[in-house]
Amino acid sequence: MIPERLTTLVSIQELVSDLLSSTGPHIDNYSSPVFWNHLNAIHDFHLAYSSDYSIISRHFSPDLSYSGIPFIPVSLFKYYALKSISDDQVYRILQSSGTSGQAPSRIYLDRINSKHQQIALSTLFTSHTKLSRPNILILDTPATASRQAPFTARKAGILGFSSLCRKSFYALKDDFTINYESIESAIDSSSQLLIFGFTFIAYKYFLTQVQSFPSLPPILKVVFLHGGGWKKLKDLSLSTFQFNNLVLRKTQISNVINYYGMVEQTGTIFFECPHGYMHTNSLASLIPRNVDSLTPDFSVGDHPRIAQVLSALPTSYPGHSLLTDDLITIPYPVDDCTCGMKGLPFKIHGRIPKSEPRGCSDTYQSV
Amino acid sequence: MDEFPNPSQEVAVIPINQFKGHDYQLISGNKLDILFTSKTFPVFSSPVINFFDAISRQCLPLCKREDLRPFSAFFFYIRSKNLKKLFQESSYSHSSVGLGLSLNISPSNVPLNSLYSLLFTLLSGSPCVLRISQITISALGEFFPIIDSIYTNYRDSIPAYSIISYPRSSPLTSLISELCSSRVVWGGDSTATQIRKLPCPPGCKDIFFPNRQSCAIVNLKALCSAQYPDDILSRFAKDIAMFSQQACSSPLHIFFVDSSRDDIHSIYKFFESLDRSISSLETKFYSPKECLESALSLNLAFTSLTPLYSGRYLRTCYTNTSDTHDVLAPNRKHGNLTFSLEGSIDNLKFNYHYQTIVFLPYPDHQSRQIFFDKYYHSFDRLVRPGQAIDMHLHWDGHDIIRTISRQVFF
Repeated sequence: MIPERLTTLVSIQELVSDLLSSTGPHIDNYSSPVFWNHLNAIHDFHLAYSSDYSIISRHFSPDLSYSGIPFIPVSLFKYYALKSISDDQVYRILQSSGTSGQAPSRIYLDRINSKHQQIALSTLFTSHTKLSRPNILILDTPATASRQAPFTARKAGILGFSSLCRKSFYALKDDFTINYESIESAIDSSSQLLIFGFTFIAYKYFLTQVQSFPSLPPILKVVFLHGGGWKKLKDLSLSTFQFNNLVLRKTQISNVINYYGMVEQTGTIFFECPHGYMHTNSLASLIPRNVDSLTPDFSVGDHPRIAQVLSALPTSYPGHSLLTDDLITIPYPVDDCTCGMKGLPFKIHGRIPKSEPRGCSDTYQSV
Repeated sequence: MDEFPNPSQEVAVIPINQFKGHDYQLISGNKLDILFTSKTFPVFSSPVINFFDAISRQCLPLCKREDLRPFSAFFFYIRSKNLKKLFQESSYSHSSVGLGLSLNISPSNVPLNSLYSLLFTLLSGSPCVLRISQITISALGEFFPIIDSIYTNYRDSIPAYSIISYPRSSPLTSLISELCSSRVVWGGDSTATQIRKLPCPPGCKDIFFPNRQSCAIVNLKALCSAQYPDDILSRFAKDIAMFSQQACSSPLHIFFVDSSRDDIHSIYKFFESLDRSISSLETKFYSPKECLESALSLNLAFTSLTPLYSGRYLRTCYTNTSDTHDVLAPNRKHGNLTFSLEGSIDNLKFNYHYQTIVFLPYPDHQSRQIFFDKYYHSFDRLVRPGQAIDMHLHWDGHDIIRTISRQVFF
């Protein structure tokens, strides 16, 4: 039964706003009832307003749902326009990078959902990096985030983090060579600096190319934040430890933070702790699922499980509970990571292997 | 022009050659220039049979490896004993010879079909240009050097061949098309349409394999009396799972004959057993996650379906519509079947021309004849469980070797 107060878009948006305003900089235990009640309310809303979500819920095996909430495999966002708002309410369409060579996901946002993403990102960012309105040195090209560029995950990330910062600098020129002048300006004019980039871009075009990174003033508070490109990094067999060492060697920055997020749940991201594990937080949670049975499996161990990610934000599209293609392991129980951070710690181990395409169509492909 | 994709680190660098100024990767065999002056041979010539037998001897042992196991069927199929048997069972004669250079466009997503395509063309006595995709190169990469090294001993005694790869946008397909005697294009409707438009010599013969679908007819009462023999179900499981239902001969729909709503419980049990059989296959061809994804996608695409069984490797939906094949087809994969309840087998209404029909249990000769007389317009193959995905010299109603060879009278 749908609670009457949740039968409008406005009321569910208010509920998310309430949660965001009550979420302080402290990261709460992810298993709090507040989070799950909130998620159930969002589930009820999408059930009422998204016919596609309603179909998925109807056909979903109760054995697989958790706390009564089904999940949507992320791949469905590539093939279906999953949304809970009317076409005229769509303010922005986010597009994934489509790194797997497939169609990109399309995420439909209204103004409020977009704003909530900004607030959530700001809350999580501030609480984790302890930076307050720093300048940002973006390890990418100005063209990537230009007005003319399509609204990709990279552009969304750059704009999202830039909006939390005072002044933006780009470390790469449009031809992907290093812009040393811009880097020096960023360092000279900042007391707090966020160096941000997508992992693979940061590695390929910045870390492997940069020759003489300027010396950092001792008073400069600097964080090197990267995320989003770990699949490609995995292909290069580069571990987090090796990546962090490379950052230290090339830039003398030791405060390197990795994050895990996806365009389907922009705004809620998982930060890596100093011990090298991602952690769930008050706005984003995760359910590890057995690869074979797809049932929840929270046991500690090195056996890989599929990550189901949960976000408190999506109201314009049913993206609050998604089954990813990513394999994770659980090193410690909830709230028990040796780093002291709360939440469920997890480590990403790659993607679930896809079956070979073997059909009798589309034969004339070049790849 | 598209660039060649970067080969992954494990794959050896493939040499780039040029034909009429256009780049191509030579995977195995001769450079393209040589093909256009090469001669034809009689069908099923002994050197060709020996060539494939030698390949079988060297490649079959490799297929003990789990990742290569799906390819064992081909390397078993090309033993000289089997090829000679195929020749004896056929009506081909050694006075048939290859038609001339044959352009083969193989499926990118069924790597094995490339090798079958090469086999059939060389057996026909025709020189062969086989264009393969990058997916095929990575899937079959370990076999090509072996084939190449064996070929050095047969270079002058079998039809010349080139296994090549080039980007889709390359004009090479068009250039070869203008000079070849036959074209064998393994499906997709769009590919067939595109290549059909390319000019070719007036005498050129074409075999195009468009998108096709297949089904199964299950008589549950007859099966039940046999207590669901495990081997039938495990063979049928292979038909469903081996190519993730993406092979055109893999069943997508089941007609339960002599069935009504009262039999739903038995049908559920049947699917449960079939799911177990798929689970127990040595090699898994898709994951439970992919199965679930496809099922949800199918439900989104077609809302009038009623799910019946949801298992680990099998999900089934009831539909009473028989004209929904085109809508359903793109979403039916990874163990997602639709089914319908039918009355007597004498009153089936097929609104679709199926590529293959799998019969469970397989009817006796007399029943097959009755079925053929009544429904011959609705299918190309009628097979036993476990044979749906077996390749054959006759495919989609074409006698491949006869089409790309010619009979010489003397």
